[in-house]
Amino acid sequence: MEAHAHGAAHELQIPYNVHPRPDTGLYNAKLGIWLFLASEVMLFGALFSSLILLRTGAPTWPRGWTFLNVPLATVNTFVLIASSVTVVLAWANLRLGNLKWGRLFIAGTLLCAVIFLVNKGFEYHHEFEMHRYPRTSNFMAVYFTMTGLHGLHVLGGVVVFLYFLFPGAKMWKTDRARYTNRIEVAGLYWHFVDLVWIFLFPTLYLL
Amino acid sequence: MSLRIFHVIFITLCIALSVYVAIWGVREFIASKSWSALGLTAVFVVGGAALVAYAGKAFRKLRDL
Repeated sequence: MEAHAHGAAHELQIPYNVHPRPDTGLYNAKLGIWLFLASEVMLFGALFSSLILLRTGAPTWPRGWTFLNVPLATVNTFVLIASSVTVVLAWANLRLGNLKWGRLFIAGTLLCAVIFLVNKGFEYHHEFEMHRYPRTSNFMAVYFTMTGLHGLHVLGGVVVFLYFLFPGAKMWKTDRARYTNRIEVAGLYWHFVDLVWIFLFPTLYLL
Repeated sequence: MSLRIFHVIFITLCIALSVYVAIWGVREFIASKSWSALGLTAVFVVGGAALVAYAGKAFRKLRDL
C-alpha cells in the first residue's frame, strides 16, 4: 500500500523543472516565460505601431526633447542598464553556489527598479504641474500610455524580486538548481522590460 | 535563448543606443546650438565607453560560466 502511494507521488511529479526537455531544449519555466514575452512583444509592438501611425498622420508632432524631463529619463536609462547587470550577476553567483552575493545582487536590482519608479513619479508630477495630461494631446496620450504600461511592468518586476529575495529564497535549501532557474527566468523578464525602455527613450524623448 | 545570450544582445543594443544618442546630440547642437544636447552627447559617450569596457570583460566571463 505504502509502495503504491510512493509510486503515485512519483508519477505526479512535474518533469523538466530543472533540466531541459530534450525536444525543446528548455525547462518548463523558460518555455513559459518566452511564450509570455512573445505576447508582450505583441502588446508593445501594437503600441509602437500606433505611435508611428499617429505621428506620420499628424501635420505637426511635438518634440519630447523640448519639454520632457530628458535628464531624469537619462538617469533612468542608466539605472535600468545597471539593473540588467546586477540581475545577471545575481544569477551568475547563484550558479556558482553563492547565495549571499546572489541575494545581494537581487537587492541591487530591486533598488534600481525602485529608483526608476521614484524618478518616474517625479517626472509625472512635473508633467501634471505643467497641466499636461493624457487628454492634452496625442503625444501626451501616447507618452502616458507607453511609459505608464512600462512602469507597471517595472512594478511587476519589483514584486517578483521582492518574492525571490525573501520568501522565495527558502527554495535554495531544498532545490538550488530550481531557485537558480527561477532567477534566470526573472532575469529574462527584466531584460525585456529594460529593452522596451531602450526603445522608448529615443522614441519619446529625443525624436 | 538563455539569460547569458539575452544579456549580450541587450548590452550590444545599449552600446548602439549610446552611439545613436551621441550622434543625435552633436547634430542637435549644430542645428540649434543647444548646449544641453551636447551635454547629453558627453553623458552617452562616457556611458557607452563604460559599456564597451564592461562588455569586453563580462562577455568572456559569462561564456565560461
